[in-house]
Amino acid sequence: MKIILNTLTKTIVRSFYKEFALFFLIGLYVCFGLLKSSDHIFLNTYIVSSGWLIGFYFLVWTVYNLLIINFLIRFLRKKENIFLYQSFLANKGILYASFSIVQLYLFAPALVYAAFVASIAINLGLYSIVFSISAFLFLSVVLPVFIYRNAIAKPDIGLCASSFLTLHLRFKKPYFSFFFFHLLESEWLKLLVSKGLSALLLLGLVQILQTDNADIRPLMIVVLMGFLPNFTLIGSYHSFENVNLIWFRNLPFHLAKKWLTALATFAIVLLPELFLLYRYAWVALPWYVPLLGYFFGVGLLTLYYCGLYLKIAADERFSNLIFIAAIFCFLAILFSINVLLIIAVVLALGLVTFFKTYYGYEYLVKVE
Amino acid sequence: MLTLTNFRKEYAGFLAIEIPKLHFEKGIYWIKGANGSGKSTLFKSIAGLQPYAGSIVLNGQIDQMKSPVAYRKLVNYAEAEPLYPSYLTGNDLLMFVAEMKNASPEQVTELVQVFEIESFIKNATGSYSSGMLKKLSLVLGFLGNPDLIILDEPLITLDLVATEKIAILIQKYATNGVGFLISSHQSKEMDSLAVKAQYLVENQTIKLL
Repeated sequence: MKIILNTLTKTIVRSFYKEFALFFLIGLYVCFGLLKSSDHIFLNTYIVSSGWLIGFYFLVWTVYNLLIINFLIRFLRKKENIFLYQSFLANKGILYASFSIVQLYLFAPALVYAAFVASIAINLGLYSIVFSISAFLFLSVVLPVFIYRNAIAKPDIGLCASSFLTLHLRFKKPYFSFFFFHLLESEWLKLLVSKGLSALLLLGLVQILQTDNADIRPLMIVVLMGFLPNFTLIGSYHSFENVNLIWFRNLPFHLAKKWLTALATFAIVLLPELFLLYRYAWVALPWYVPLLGYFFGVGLLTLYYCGLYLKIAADERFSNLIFIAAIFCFLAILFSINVLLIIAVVLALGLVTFFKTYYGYEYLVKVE
Repeated sequence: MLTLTNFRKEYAGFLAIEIPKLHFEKGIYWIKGANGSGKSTLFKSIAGLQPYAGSIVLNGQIDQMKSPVAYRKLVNYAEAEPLYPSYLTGNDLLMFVAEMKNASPEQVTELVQVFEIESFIKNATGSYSSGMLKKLSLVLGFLGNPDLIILDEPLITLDLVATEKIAILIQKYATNGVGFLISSHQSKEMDSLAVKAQYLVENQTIKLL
């Protein structure tokens, strides 16, 4: 059993979390970035107390389970996973047990939250709710196992089962979305780590620098330092453009359009940080200040991206340049230079650099 | 059609290819050379994929460096070993490049039919065989209203039927005034083409054969 379970875990479970990294990331931001723990307790107390509202959770968990089932059937049909059909030859009990554990791994996010909801129900003495949650979860784990076993026995069963997950193939993708698909497919770990670090830095800095007065400067310093981990994603964007899409250089793309596309991409990349800024920003500051901070962050990322097209980007002089730019930004914030002016200067500097360097730049891979 | 002046391309200080002066009139040109001789480097530079020293001017007035957008509208390129993001469908790429190069829907439909790629065009390119990828890259290379089409090894991984079709298509476009720079090891299949001249890339330069 250990061998079958190991193989299934390494293939199915790993691929599942890899494919849905962004889905979980957004879920984490929405559930734990926008809502505080006290909000969760309040919300779930209301839901379990009302009784019938728990049906909403059942619906969400069912949709999530359908997503898992669809993924698994699609996964088994891939050429490189054909060898998994041989697991059908294993003892029936072992196969069922292995798939049950795999399903537990895949369903774990729902299980963890369900346990939290159940604990609230226990505290309130609502044991019928606890029982219904337990029964629902039991069925959610057990029933798909029969579907998986059937899919292993009859390889053709999944032929039309995964249509909604391949739905994106039917729609024309805009240019700016190419990078996001690339992130999800090839750099999901980098995305997760950088976003996680950025969120931690931001929240930590907010705690240290938060004041009661309406001073904009601490928030701008939070942005300057807290958005730093996103620079790795800009590096990814740059290499994606110059490795995966190198032939795009033959296309008649106006540089201004290219620059604007990069700007829009970075604005989307930083949306989670904007949510965090609004959620945890200083109450004394006007509503538009987090938005200014966000645009400042987008400007910084764009400037860095444009800087990567400099000929010195591959050597240590570039690090010095970044350090100097960061010091200038820091000083500008400290001495209360108008934030709009800082953003304008940062964007203009990036634009000029981009126009001057783009066509003269060559991406070279260092040979060790 | 195309003029290279004081063209020089180096990689990390090592000379890859140097051409003091070269002029191509309209027509089909065959560029030969051993592996690693610098053919692809020359093609990539002409296509605008990489920087170089010197100048490349199209039709006597459109300098690649000074008018990058106008130049790229008129110069198309199909690479030797195409590689596309695996999550994009052939249709995604086709629509995108068609928009960029101002290709008409009729031209897109015609090329799709000529290269017989309808059956897989809506699938993600990650599921394509090398022959399918090659056909897609050739379709992309013919889109729009180019003055020059650069085909780097257009015949590799293609079957005989597709090879004959591409030869007919090249001749048709050439008759309509489009110039071609073609590199290929399989010259026999292209015998039917009215090649204006053949060049050999060797010893870091190019010479007429």
